[in-house]
Amino acid sequence: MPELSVNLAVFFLLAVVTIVSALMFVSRKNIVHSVLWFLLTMLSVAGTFFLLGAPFLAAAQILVYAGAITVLFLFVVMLTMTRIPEVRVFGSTQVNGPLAATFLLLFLLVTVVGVTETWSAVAKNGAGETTLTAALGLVLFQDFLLPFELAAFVLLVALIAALFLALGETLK
Amino acid sequence: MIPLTYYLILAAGLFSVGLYGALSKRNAILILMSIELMLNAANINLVAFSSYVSPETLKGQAFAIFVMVIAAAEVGLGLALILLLFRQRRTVEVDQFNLLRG
Repeated sequence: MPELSVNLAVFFLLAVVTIVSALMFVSRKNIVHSVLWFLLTMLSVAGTFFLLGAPFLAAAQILVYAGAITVLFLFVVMLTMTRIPEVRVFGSTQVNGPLAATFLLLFLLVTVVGVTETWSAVAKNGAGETTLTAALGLVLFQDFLLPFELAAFVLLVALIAALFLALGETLK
Repeated sequence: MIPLTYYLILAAGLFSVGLYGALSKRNAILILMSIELMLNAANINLVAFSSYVSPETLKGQAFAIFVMVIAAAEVGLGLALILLLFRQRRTVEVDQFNLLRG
């Protein structure tokens, strides 16, 4: 029972940090501030993965999103010398189209989720004697071998394409 | 044990914030970042379902890894395209790219 409430408290802390930093991300005028709030959102999503029993995914989230992708965004912000102040979130008096659409979507999602609360928590027998990461590796290389190889190919293609796009002028 | 719906509502909220950012921002970089938020929300959903409905197969986590791979490739290519656009027009504001408008 004490373990239950600690889990719940950690979840609420993570959820609050995630949503608040996402909201700060969309409401900042300075784009560098936006990128930093984006980084905090990615880190708290990684914490949520830890709470869900996916340690490998949490580490991959930190490496890929909070590490590589955030740095990429910062570089591009620097290279494009962005100075444009963004749309004010809570300032305009007209009907804000995107805001209305977002609230409608959120309302529908929360309603569907709350009404169909028939998900039953399956008894967690675990994934066997191996660790969770080893079990995930087994799943990736046995059940999902073809998607795994295709994903590696996709990464290779994206790498070559991005290099060609960025250096195309100087390669000729 | 935390109810599954808590995670789903968290993912729904994060997705909504990402959707609002993708719809209302003028800077292409911010739009890309909002798309990343939406992808992360989908990942939270996948992992939550995986650990609550069938925790012994871990298929949701494998799916989430592939989503992460595709998202990383998409961000790399999208940012390369944004850099090319900036070289052409010296701006990344999506309002300025209206050559196809009738």
